[in-house]
Amino acid sequence: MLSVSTAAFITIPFVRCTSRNAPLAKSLSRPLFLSQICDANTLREIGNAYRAKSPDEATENQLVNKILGDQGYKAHFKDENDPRFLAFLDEKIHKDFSTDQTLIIKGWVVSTTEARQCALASLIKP
Amino acid sequence: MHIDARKLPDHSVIEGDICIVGSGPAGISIAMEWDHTRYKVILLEGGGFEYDDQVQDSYAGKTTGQKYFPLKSARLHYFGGTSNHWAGYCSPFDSIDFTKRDWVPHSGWPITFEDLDPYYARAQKNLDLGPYEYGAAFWQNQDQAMKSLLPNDSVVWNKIWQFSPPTRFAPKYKKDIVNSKNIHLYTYANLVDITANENVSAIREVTVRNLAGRQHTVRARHFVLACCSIQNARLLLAANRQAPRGLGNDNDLVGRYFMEHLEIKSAELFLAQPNPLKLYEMEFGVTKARCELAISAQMQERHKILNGTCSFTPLDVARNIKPAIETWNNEDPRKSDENFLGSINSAVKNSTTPKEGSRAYELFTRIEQAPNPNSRITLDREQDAFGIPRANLHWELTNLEKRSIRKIYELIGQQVGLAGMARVRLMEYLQDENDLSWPPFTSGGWHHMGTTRMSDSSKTGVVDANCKVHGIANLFVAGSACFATAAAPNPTFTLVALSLRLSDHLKALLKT
Ligand SMILES: Cc1cc2nc3c(=O)[nH]c(=O)nc-3n(C[C@H](O)[C@H](O)[C@H](O)COP(=O)(O)OP(=O)(O)OC[C@H]3O[C@@H](n4cnc5c(N)ncnc54)[C@H](O)[C@@H]3O)c2cc1C
Repeated sequence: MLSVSTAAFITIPFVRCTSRNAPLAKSLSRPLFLSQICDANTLREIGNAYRAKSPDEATENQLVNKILGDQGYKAHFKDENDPRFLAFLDEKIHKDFSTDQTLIIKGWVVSTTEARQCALASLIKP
Repeated sequence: MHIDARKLPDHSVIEGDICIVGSGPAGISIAMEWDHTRYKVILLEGGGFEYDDQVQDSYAGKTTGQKYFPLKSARLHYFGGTSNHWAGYCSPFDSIDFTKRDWVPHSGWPITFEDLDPYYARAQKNLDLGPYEYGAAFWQNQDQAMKSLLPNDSVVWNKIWQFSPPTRFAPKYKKDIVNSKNIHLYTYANLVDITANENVSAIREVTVRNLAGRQHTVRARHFVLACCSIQNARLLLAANRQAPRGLGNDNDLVGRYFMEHLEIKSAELFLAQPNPLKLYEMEFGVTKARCELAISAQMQERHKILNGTCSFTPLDVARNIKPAIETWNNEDPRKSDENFLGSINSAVKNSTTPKEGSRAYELFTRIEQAPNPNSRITLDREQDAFGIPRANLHWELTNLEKRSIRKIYELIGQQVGLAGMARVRLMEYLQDENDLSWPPFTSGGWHHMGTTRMSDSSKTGVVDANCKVHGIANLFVAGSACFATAAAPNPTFTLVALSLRLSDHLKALLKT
């Protein structure tokens, strides 16, 4: 697990995702752990299945907002490569696993955040 | 002392203090407890010292319901019993296994884990196991490389299995029994009938027969049936001259609640880094102890699931192992064994797993089946060469088994995810929660249990807490037939412990 000491206590205003957030969506579409064990196709398959199950999370914007929740991003992270941003995502996934926020999609037991990241991957052209 | 019953004059009468029928792990474990005592123990074995296909044929029978192994090859019918084929996997049942669980119909034993605990400790010796230590920490302390995959043990925990060499009871105990002054082993003494007193409240004698055409009578103060679950039920049902439904069967329970362990590949585990998973690794003949992942009692209760565990095999090996239900398909147990082991050995031989370990593992389930009165042994019209009706097995599973397996892997997936170690993918047949069918590779573990289940009441069980048949003063059943539920572990360790407990009970009875 990455260190999350700073990420844990920041509350940031909601940031609406626009097309200007495309790099953000792209970086969110790479679930760190899952990417190490699954190929891109599998990630997209998980993503497609997630979107089919969750019609209100069908667009990039909706997914980015769901992933970031009320945790904004730009005000506190330099960019999406900021290690604290990765730590924030890592912590979120960890929390999903500890609070039963997991899903079985295409057989994979994944965190809800990971599923949304895969959904983004399935929307973004490779 | 050894006597070949084929060589005795026809219609001999044999008398002793206790008569044990069957010389597998259950029967021999009891018999050896009486060596060097003043009691005359008669140990009846239907076969000889070697495999004999004519005797083995008496095990043949039909199966219906969930596909099962040929009955003829699922047990061995000679001295040492099925220990001549067993693999030696041993682990005690958990406390929860003995309790009444409101989500598992017909669960609950009239004894507790604490009642069996001292006998488990003794059974370690019978099965040539190591120290009576089933906490993972004990073994991890001896080998720092045995690292857990789990963040803690509140949801999923590491349950230890120890491995018997595996003990073959025939070579281990033959000399002691043959040289014993007070244990009288009769080979080719196949029990064919049981005769009770007039009001069927006690057994007077049993009849044994062999294919040499000799028939003998055996009288004793106490009788113990130790022929394993299918045979024990079959013999009680067939003893229907004085009790039309069979002995101990006033409430139509004998043969019912047949249980197996479902043994089935269920999921795959993917790690970010190669890992030999030493804590979970099993090398046949080398590993003394290793863990399977088990589900905590609290989680079983919360999710209303059965008790089951999960073992690991590197995926490249597992993918080349054919399912047991496919390879154990020959009526001849020797051929089935060869097919089965052949598939495993060749997969292991061709393994490409590097020394530093694999990144992908198959997760394999062993799970209790919910006690089910429709899963049962009945008698066929056809008789074997000894004149006993053949056994039929109807193996029936319930939806609870499938739901439980799915939940088990969801919980395991969550826990290894929480630990940041791995991700789990359920196999196709578990992916749709509404799909209640079983895939063709669904297997049992050759673990026959529950056909004379234990209960305080004759209305809900065949034997009482001391393994005595309800309503019959001197008839006992030894072995896994007495299990009220099957738990996750392989049954022999528990059935030997239970047999040692029965032996102590018999000693107390004979003293009074
Ligand atoms: C391939 C295989 C692998 C296994 N692996 C494991 C494992 O790893 N761990 C585990 O716990 N269990 C395992 N088992 C199960 C294990 O073998 C049994 O639980 C165990 O042998 C049961 O002991 P038992 O004494 O009750 O019955 P058995 O060993 O079956 O012995 C019954 C005895 O009764 C005799 N008998 C039967 N009918 C009569 C009659 N009418 N008259 C006189 N004698 C009779 C038989 O000849 C036999 O000697 C395995 C089984 C198989 C087939």
